[in-house]
Amino acid sequence: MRTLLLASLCSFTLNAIEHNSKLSLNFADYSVYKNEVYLEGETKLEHTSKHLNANLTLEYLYSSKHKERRYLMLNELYLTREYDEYSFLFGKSIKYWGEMEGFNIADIYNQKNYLLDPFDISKKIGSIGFDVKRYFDEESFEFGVKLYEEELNYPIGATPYTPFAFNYDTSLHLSDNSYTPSFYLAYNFMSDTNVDSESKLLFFHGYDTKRYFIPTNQTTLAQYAYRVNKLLFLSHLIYGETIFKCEASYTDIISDTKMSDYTQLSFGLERGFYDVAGVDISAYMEYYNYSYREDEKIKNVDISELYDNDAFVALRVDFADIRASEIKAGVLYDLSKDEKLFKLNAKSRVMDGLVVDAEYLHILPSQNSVLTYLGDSSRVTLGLTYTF
Amino acid sequence: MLTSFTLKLKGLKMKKILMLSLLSISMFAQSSLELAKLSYEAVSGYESSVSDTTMLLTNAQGVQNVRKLQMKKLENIEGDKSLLIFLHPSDVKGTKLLSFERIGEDDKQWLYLPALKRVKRISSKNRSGSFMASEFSYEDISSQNYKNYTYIGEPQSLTLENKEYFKIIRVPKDTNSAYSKQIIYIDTKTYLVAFGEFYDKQNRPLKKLSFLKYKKIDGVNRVVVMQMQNLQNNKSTTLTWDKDEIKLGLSSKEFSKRELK
Repeated sequence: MRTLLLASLCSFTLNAIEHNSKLSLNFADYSVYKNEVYLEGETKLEHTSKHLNANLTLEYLYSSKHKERRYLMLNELYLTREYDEYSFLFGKSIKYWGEMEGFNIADIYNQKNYLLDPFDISKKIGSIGFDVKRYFDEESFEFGVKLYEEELNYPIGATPYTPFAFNYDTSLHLSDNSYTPSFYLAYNFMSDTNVDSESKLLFFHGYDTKRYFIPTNQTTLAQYAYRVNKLLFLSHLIYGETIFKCEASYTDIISDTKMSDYTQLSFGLERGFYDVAGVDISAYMEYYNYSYREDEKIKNVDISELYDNDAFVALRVDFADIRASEIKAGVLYDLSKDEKLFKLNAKSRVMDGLVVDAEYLHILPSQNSVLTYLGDSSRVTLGLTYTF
Repeated sequence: MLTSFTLKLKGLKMKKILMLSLLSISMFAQSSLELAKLSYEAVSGYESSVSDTTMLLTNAQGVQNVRKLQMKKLENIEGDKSLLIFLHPSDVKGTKLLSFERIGEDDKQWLYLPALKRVKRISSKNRSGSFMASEFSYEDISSQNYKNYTYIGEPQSLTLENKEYFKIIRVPKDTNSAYSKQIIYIDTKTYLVAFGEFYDKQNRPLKKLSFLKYKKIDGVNRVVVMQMQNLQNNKSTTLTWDKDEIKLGLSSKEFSKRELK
């Protein structure tokens, strides 16, 4: 009887939980480093009840080559509650703020997961905090607090995932402490009077997503986080068949003498061409600018600084077939330094839930850039991903 | 007496013939627009709906593939609203498409990509693009509001396989439509669309849409099975409503960007 009751309870609990897992086996061939095989995956669980929604994301990575690229991480664990025109979130979560396809200046809530892939902007680390949103008809206000500044991990020594050839100390050094909160206030609004547009204005006070490295001894570096005031603006508008996009930010350094205040700007356009010889094509053209208020201060410490005077051109070809096959190709070209980064990605579903993908990445760095340490290098990856 | 009776009978017959002729004239006096409106009204009145659907894709070689999605719809005088949630295959599970139809203007569409947690505005000019790699395009699955078309000529009445249909020709007002014209066959008794022939911009036959089964829920006609055949690439897609609930009291709130997460 007890077993039956337990089985019923288990069955009820499992039924109430939605789950989605992804497991990906990859082979990476590096032009400069030794090849590796790695297993990457995530499991998402979601429990929805009348009053509360609970979400969990577990992320796992196992590399045959790099010990640091072996982890099991609880990347998200948060509760949400909807109440009339309000929504509340508490816990460790990932947010997305952005408009661009190549790089998002405004996506500052979470740190990027450089261990997983520094060249994939979607790989991020969950941040602990809470937020409240108030919805109006076509507007919303949002107030959020980030309660903890996360430490970042990098593989030690020269690897395709490390921007420096030193030992790395994972403990984060800060201008205050890890628990000093960061705040943000956001206002989302839209208009469809003359042209359709949607915008976000955001004020952020707290630790900058950009960090720099300080030596802890003669052979070891550690990350250093400092506090800033940041004003961000994101917008897109639709005119005819084209979507025009913009992201801009101004960062005022509060508590650090080594870093300069800086401005980031990006604008771009997206246009779709449909049913061209049976395929749908999306074209993207974007421009990024990064300017420092004081030129003599520290530069080139973060991947965001790559986008200093760069053009990004990309194409996405959707074959509109039952295998959902697509090819994405893009180039990031530094207009002042002649630095280039090429990426080509193709994927296709071989059967339900099983997707095969291939990617080619080629870096042609310039002198005195974040990429200089990586040198002229390329990476070819082949992957098989099972989603269930 | 007999003569007067015969005359009366003849008079009645005449009256009947006259009435039938009048009826027939009034029937044919219905313009294509009026028939299209009647046909649209025959499937209207659901207020709001939540449906679980299965999409069966068949390629030219006969290889089949299944998609599943939940469709939420809200009837609205200014244009219907819909929220599509992708359920299968598992690699696209959780992707959502929110659409606001706007009569005489471009629709508004947003796509939610769960892997990135990103809400992406998409250009509604993509009306001719394939929906989920099927033979249905975005314009095929959006509401077939009669106001979105202009009509050519008078309707014709015809009989095909012992069934009577009104045949009307409509032209999408949207310049981004993939079609130069659509020939629609409407059941004369129910005013429900039975099938349609869609022509590409070069005026060649492109697709054939067949409504294979309807059923009534709470007095409202609902499609149960519809099939789109591409006459140029020999692919086809069958869309089946496995579960369909209407008049659920949903409001605009359930069709806001807030739902995209």
